[in-house]
Amino acid sequence: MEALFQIGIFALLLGLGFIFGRRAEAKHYKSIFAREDALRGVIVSTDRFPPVEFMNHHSGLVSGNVVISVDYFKVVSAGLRGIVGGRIRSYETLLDRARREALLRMQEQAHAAGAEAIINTKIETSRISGNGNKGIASVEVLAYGTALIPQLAKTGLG
Amino acid sequence: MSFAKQNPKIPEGINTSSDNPLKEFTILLGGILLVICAIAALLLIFSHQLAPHIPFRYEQALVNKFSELTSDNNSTEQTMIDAELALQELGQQLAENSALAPDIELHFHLLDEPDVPNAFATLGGHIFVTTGLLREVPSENALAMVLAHEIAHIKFRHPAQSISGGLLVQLFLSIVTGQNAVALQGTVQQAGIMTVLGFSRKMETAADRAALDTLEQHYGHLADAEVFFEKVLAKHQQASWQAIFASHPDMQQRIEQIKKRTQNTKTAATKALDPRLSYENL
Repeated sequence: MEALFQIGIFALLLGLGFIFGRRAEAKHYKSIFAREDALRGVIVSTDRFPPVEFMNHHSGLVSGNVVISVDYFKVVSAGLRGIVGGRIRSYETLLDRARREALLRMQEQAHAAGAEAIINTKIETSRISGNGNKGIASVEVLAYGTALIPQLAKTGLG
Repeated sequence: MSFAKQNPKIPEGINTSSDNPLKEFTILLGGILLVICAIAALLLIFSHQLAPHIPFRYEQALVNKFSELTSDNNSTEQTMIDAELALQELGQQLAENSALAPDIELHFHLLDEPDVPNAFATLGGHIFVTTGLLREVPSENALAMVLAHEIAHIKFRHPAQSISGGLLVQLFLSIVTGQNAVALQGTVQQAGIMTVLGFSRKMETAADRAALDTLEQHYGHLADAEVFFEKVLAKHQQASWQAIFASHPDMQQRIEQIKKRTQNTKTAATKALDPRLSYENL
């Protein structure tokens, strides 16, 4: 009876994780696509030095970071994957979303400052886990770079 | 060097896959469950052969909590404590002559049940003797035969064997799920650790033979070895006896086998029972 109860709780968490995780993911991707299109004008580059035509721009630090948590379904799915090995697909979409969201937030900050491009873009990630192996893991992704802002623009940066 | 007019649109599906995660999950879960079930089924089928190879300390861990319980319960009267101590001493002496595997530890317990003459061996090397049995044995030799018989059960890992199917599967599942054995105690206790485990006739015969070897080594003769079993048979008509010894089949045959061996060896004087163990003092 107790075992049945535990299985019930497990299945409930799994179902909740799947339904809400999937809905959140679909919604998030929709938003990512829209914003990526909107911010396509803010060029993101990994070059270390600005091109000649940007030489007289102001520059300033812009950054965007995001913390994303895995859901129960993804954890169980990854746990099963951990037994047999292979691509953990359930985590791949999670990290893809986190990376793109962080870049978007950086672009949004740059856009607000009137920047035309961001150079020297770097991406970092770190694990956030407060209580050892227990609990659900979450991951932080930080994107930062140097925004290049035209002289004319009124800016709070640089 | 110059920038493009805007960021390029990167095609989707390079870093991620659009497969439904449920599909992967179902395949993984189904496959892994299937393998676990297959292994569990194999363990069940070959449990009798595998049981003696289960490390003894696993068996101990399974019943550890239980042994704490009984030792608390029993230590109420000083005479009972002394008697249990005497039982331990005799048991350990016999154990030394039983050629036990080095990792096996024996624990002897005295149960205060004066009306039920019985002794049984269970998981974790625990051997129980009732006070009713002490009333029935005329000498230390007769008691030693019973003890040596139960020690032999432990030696051959019969308790593990007789519940081995369930035990093996439990152990396996506990390893897979990462739970420790303590969490599984509930199930084992339900299976009846206190009850007499059903040993097969083959097991009983093997235990008898080993017990006789032990007695011969310890005392140098086999006098009184058959006494307790004979007494059991003598009273076998009584219903209360029948229930207890239902698990000891073919009593008559076993006694004859024991007698055959005792007749072939020289007879000698039996040793008196330790006064701490005599029934009148309890």
